[in-house]
Amino acid sequence: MHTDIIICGGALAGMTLALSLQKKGLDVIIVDPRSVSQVMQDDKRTTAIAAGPKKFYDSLGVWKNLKDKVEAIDSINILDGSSSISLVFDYKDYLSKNNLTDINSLGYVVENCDLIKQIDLRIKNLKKCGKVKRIKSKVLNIKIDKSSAKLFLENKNIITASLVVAADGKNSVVRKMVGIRENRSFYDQEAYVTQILHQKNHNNIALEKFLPGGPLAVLPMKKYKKKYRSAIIWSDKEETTRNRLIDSKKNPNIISYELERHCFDWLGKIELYGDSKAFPLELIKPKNIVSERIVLMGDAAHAIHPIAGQGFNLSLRGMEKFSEMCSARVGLGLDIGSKIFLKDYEMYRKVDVASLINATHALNELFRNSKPHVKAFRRLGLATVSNTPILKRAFMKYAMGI
Amino acid sequence: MSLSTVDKDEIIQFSKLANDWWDEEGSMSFLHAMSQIRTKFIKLELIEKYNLIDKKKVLNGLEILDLGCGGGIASEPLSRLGGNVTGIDESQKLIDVANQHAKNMKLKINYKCCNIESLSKFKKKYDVILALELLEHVNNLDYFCELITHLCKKNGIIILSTINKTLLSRMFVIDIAENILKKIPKGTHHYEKFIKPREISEIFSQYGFQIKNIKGMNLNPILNCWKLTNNTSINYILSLSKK
Repeated sequence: MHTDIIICGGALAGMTLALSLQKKGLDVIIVDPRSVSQVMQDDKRTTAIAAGPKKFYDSLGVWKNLKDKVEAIDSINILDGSSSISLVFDYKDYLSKNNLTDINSLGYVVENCDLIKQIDLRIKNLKKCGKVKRIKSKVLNIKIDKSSAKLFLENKNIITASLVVAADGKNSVVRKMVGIRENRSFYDQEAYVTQILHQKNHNNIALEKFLPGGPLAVLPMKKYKKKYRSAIIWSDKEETTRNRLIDSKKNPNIISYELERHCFDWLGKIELYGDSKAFPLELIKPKNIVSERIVLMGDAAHAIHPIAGQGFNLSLRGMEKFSEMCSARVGLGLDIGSKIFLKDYEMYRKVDVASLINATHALNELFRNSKPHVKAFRRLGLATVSNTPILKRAFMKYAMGI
Repeated sequence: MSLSTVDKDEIIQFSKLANDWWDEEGSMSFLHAMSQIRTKFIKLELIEKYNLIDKKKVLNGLEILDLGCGGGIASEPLSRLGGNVTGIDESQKLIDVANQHAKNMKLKINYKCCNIESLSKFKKKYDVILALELLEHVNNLDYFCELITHLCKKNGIIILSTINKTLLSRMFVIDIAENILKKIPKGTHHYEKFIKPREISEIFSQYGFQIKNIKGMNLNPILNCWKLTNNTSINYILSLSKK
């Protein structure tokens, strides 16, 4: 079996890219040992999609069917837990000064399973475009030669393509198979992830509170059965997060009380809802994001700290660029696995990826630090940003991904 | 004077480059980078000429002849776009390279090691005739162009790309690209064989062909990236057809 592009990994990133390529007329095979419904079941996370990348989902025809599933973030409230200084980003203020009419929010919060479901429907219903096929199997081996990549699957199938995309997560097996090495650094932090139901309206405000152990993010979600709902992404020391995970099963009141205290009276009474999970946080930076007839995409290309909620937005920008470049090449009948083409793509992406990695890394270090002079600098910094409209707008533009 | 259009020394010179013809960063890197805009020009000209609809196999059904196809850098994209491509070259080594590469790429291209004179004997005519970066390497240009017009269907189109005969082209192609940057193998080009667009126009008008469109191809040497422009003083590409 031969196709244009094989995507290894059929979760959120892999499926988004498949749809985008399909829309450009390319034929795609997705290889994943899980079915779409299994992927949906496994992925209980929520994702914040910034205003820029949201337009990408708009163009793919996915967003219009998600209207009653996504909640808008209209403003971001940033608090330094060790001082009383706060910083508020309000999109209306930004838009009115920049004449942007096609943007209605800073970003949106969506549950991954809802997004995956709509992407899957769109892939199946898209007519007059490329073909997408999903093979439920594992990749055992990859052989690259001068003209194509050959994949040997567990179900004994052998498939070939001009190009292979590794979208199989931050511990990508494909990345390892083709010998791309990575730099890793652990943050000795873990993220505790859950959802909460609360008494008062969140008013579409996202809260990011910098605490000594790491940042706590509270993101507004759509109501669940008439109850106000938010998502929690709470980075903290490993041990603290582990204890939180135990508490969330045995003694959830401890956590809801802690959250109530951190949110002041903003959300009123809080109760935990749904499953809680913990994710180890690490920075994974592959030495290259392309290799012969291979491209890394999504978390396989870069796993960063969730501090600014930018990891997946970074991936979406990569996918959009990559599909555009592929489509231009296919339109001219040129080989999409070509070395110079892949190097071009890598060059385009390098700056975006590197600057975000550095920014999130530095932000995390800055806010965790409790040395007096760093704290003073932080206070000064937040106050400066808060009182300097130009700086504030620059940060907003960045957060919105536009 | 011999009527042969083939320059034997040129064939030997190009055969030497067979081994890394398809290495995009090798001695043919200029041609690989140029391939994008050449194909773009060809595709747009053909869409206009034959009122084609831009889809995946946009060139379906067109008989295309690629003269001096070398290792097939121009033939392959056109074949991928659906064209029925024939490529000829005098160098057996390069035809071998082209055949092997097309096979690996799962493309069906009809490559032949022959010259334009012997191809003319088959009386087969083509919709599209390409001579890309070729005219500056042939002997007896007038006769070569005449043979091209014989191979072209009445309502067919001829697309040529070559190097202008200007001080600038001499400086860039020979002095800088070959001698200083060594991006092109030394001895590839000879200034006296460079051709002005006016000369091409004059030759082809004898056979009723007129220039329909002409564009300059300009290189950004730092990015190794080509652009179609209106500056035809160095490299240019043009299309010819009958009124």
